[in-house]
Amino acid sequence: MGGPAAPGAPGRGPFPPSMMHDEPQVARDDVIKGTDDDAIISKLYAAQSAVNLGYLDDPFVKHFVKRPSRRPPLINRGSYLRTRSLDTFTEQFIKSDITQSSTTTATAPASATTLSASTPTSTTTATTTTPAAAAGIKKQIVSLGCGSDTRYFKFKAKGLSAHKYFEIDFPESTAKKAVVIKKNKAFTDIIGDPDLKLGLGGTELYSKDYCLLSGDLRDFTESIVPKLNAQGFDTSLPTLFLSECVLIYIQPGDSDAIVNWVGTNMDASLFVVYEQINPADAFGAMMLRNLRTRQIELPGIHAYPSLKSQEERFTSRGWQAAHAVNMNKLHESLSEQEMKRISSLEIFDEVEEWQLLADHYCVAWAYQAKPRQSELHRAQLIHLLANAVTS
Amino acid sequence: MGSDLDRQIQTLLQCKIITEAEVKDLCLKAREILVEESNVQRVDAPVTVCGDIHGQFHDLKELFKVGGECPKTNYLFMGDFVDRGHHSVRYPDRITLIRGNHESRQITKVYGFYDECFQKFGSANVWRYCCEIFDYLSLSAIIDDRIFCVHGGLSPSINTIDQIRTIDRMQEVPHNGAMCDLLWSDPDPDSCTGWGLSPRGAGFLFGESVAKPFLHNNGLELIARAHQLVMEGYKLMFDEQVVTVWSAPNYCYRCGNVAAILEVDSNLNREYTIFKDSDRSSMNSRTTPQREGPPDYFL
Repeated sequence: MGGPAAPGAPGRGPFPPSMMHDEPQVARDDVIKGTDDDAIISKLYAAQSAVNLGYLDDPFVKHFVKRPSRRPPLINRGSYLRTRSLDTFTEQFIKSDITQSSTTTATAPASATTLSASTPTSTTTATTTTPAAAAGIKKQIVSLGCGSDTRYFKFKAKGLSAHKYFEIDFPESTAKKAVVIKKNKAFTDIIGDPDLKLGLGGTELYSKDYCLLSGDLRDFTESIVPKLNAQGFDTSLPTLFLSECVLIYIQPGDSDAIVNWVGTNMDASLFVVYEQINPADAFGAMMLRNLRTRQIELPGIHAYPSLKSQEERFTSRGWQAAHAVNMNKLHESLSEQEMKRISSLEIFDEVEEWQLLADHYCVAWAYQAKPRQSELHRAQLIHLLANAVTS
Repeated sequence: MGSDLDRQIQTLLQCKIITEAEVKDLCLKAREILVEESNVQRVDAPVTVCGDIHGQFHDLKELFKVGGECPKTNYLFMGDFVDRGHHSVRYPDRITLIRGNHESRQITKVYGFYDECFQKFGSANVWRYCCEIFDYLSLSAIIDDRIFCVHGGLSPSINTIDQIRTIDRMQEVPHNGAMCDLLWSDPDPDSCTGWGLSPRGAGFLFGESVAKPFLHNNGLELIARAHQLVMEGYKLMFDEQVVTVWSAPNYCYRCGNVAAILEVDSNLNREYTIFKDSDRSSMNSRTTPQREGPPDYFL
């Protein structure tokens, strides 16, 4: 999740860009590779810190973290919020179904982006809904620039899974992840497939419902799509696309190509984006400057610098509904009880700084469905997608 | 002894550290001075009033450049000297200091000062000496009987300045009560009822309807306080009767804000001076190891 694809020579094929020594771009891509690690590690350590302090429940992330360290309260709270928000979308998408044949085309509820995923402390009700989810319509999830994300494992451990879950990242990132997963019973038990196997020099993993694929997102249509297809990806199934600080690292032309492809080719899709916004104010300018000292560029932030432009990224391409909120809004939408719970975990004295930081991150979602079979079928799909973004 | 102190100051000004024994010695001397101080320090104008510093040492030097070198200029710092920045382990000298909410054992353990001490001195001793000194710091100050200076703000348990004088301050900052509130409270421009719950989990939000009577009843004209980041460096509220002064530019090397100091002249005229950070001070100091590099973001 993080910086999977910064600008530079696209790293085609199974080898990391840094291994292509005959290119003049090598030095630059080495830096990009470092960035990639930096971003992934940064997110990972923040996640582990949030888990250790009790913000989040994730028994899997620790397998990726060598020496856990405590992060500042504001980073813990932000990691918690982003994870919780995307978990909510994922959980609702998995649970959502074509219940009654609603003949009225569902419209997007305005207050959709609130946080309602089950808390770490509450015993999950997920298991009771599993049969319904399993018996219902098949669904897919695609995590773009997955890094060391553990969402597939977290949810399947709770009895919540999609028909297929695809994760995609640069080969140097997926290679590390594949080793950890393959070697560890905690992961292989969850995958639960005796035929789980490594592929492409250890950079990919294939199983019945989980596939880890390597590639460059800047080359989505040419190189990623064929890989997805080879693993049983089905454009007719409702599919959730997740992008957590990923599209922002690639040139807008390349990220737009992904959004266009999904919008054009999928029968029904929900796209959820989490990334930085507001580059122009004092905090935003300092953010870009500080990231630059870590060799991190955010080429996408200027193309989609506001909540409105984040929505228009989709609506201007024919998606039915789109909505974007900043992290302050997500924070405010926490229930009183949940706010009380996280407030009790550690002192939080960074109120103004938090508000500034939270103002510079957003969650945007959009969905679209096509009348491939019938208008009724389309209405049903929209009903399903709308359910996934309603709480 | 004097030459020792001068040498130590010179060392510190170069952003180098002094020894643990020297810190211990300095803390003992500081304690002798602080123990004599009242909970409400009397300060004579002219004086320059400053807000949070948070260990941004290079920016503190910038502050002295802008406000005039010490001791030529008389300074009053309203707390939060430590945490967050990379150079909390340095001390201003011959200046009035009052306690901030970060001058506490519990907070410094979370927000960096403890880690910094441990990293720079190899043990928690320096942190322990400093925390003992924090317990002796005064809680507030009054300039020429007219300007009340405190780190956070008011407390529902305090109506008069004399009530502050009776607090037993030589302790860790409690989780509630008058002493806690003075260090933790914030003014709330939207308050209609006077007192509100603080999002920080300590102290209160106080409104105009509380601040104005407090000033009136105590014969004061202004509450100067710090505690809250203000992007513009300072912020006047309640018909200019409460001001927030923030003196850590580009706070945490991340916020992009400017900082301010409040210069009060002998006629109690007030002037605010804005200053910027000392050009990425965190980056150009390599004389001491740093616990962390650039600030954190969600990536």
